[in-house]
Amino acid sequence: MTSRALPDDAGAASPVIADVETRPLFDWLFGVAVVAMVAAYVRAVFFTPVEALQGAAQKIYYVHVPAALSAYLALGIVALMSIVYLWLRDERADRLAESSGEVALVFLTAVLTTGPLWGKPIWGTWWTWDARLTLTLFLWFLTAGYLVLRGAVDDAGMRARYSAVIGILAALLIPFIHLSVYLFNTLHPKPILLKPDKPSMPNEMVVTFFGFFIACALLCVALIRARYRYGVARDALRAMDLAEEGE
Amino acid sequence: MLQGGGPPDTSSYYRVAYVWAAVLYAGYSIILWARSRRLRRIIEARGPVRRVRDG
Repeated sequence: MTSRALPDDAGAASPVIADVETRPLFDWLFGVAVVAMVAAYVRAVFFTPVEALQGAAQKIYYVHVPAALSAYLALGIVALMSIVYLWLRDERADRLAESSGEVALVFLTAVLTTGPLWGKPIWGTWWTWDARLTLTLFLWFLTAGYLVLRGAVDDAGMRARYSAVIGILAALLIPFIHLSVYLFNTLHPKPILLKPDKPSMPNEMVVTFFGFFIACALLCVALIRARYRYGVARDALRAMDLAEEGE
Repeated sequence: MLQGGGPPDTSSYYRVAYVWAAVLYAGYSIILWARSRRLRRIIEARGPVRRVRDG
C-alpha cells in the first residue's frame, strides 16, 4: 500500500482527513433518536386515544407536524450557516448548510406526503391549492433547487455563495408558511398547539405530540450530523484528488 | 362517514402514513450509510495519507 503526501493547504478538508476513516457515520445521538422514535410510534399507536370525529387518521398529525417543525429546524440551520458562510467564508458552515438542506428535504417530503394521507379521508381530496399547501410545495422545490444548484456548480466558492443566497431565501418562506392560515382564507387547519392560548387537545394527545416532536428533532439533528460527516469524507477525497493533480 | 355514532374508519390512511414515514426516514439513513461506505472504501483503497506541512 503506497503512502501519499497531502499538503495542509491541499483542500478544505485536509485537517480532518485523519478522522474520516475512524469516525462512525451514525453515533450515540442517532441511537438515541431511533429509540425515541420507536417509543413515540408505540405511544401513538397503542397508548393514544382515537379522536371521535376524525378517527385514526387524526393520529397522522403526530407524524405530520413534527416532520414540518423538523424541516423548519433544518432550514433554519441552512439559513444561519449560510449567513455565517457569507460573513466568515468558513467552509464548515457551508458544509453544515448543505447537510441540513438535504435532511430538510427528507422531512419536507414526509410533510407533503403524510398531509394528503390525512386530507383524503378528512377533506375528501388528496390535494388542494390552498396557501399553506402551495407554499410548502414551493419550499420543497426551493430546497430541491438548492441541492441541485450545489451539484451543478464546480467552483467551491461560487457554489457556496450562490447556494447560501438560496438557502436564506428558502428559510424566509417559513414565517409566511406558518402565518398563511391566518393571512389567507385556507382549508388547512389553524395551529392547535403552537398558538398563544392553551392547546385544543387533551393532555394525553399533547404528550404524544411532544414525544414525537422530540424524537423527530433528535433524528433531524442526528441525520444532519451524519450527513456532515459524509461531507467531511467527500471533501477529504476531493482534497486528495487535488493533491494528486498537483503532484 | 360516521358509523353508528362512533369514529369513522380512517385507519388505513393512518397506517399507510406511519409506515411511509418510517420507510422514508429509514431509507434516507440507509442511503446515507451506503454513500458513506462507498466513499470510505475509495479513501481506504488509495492508501494511508501522510501529512506534510512544508512541502
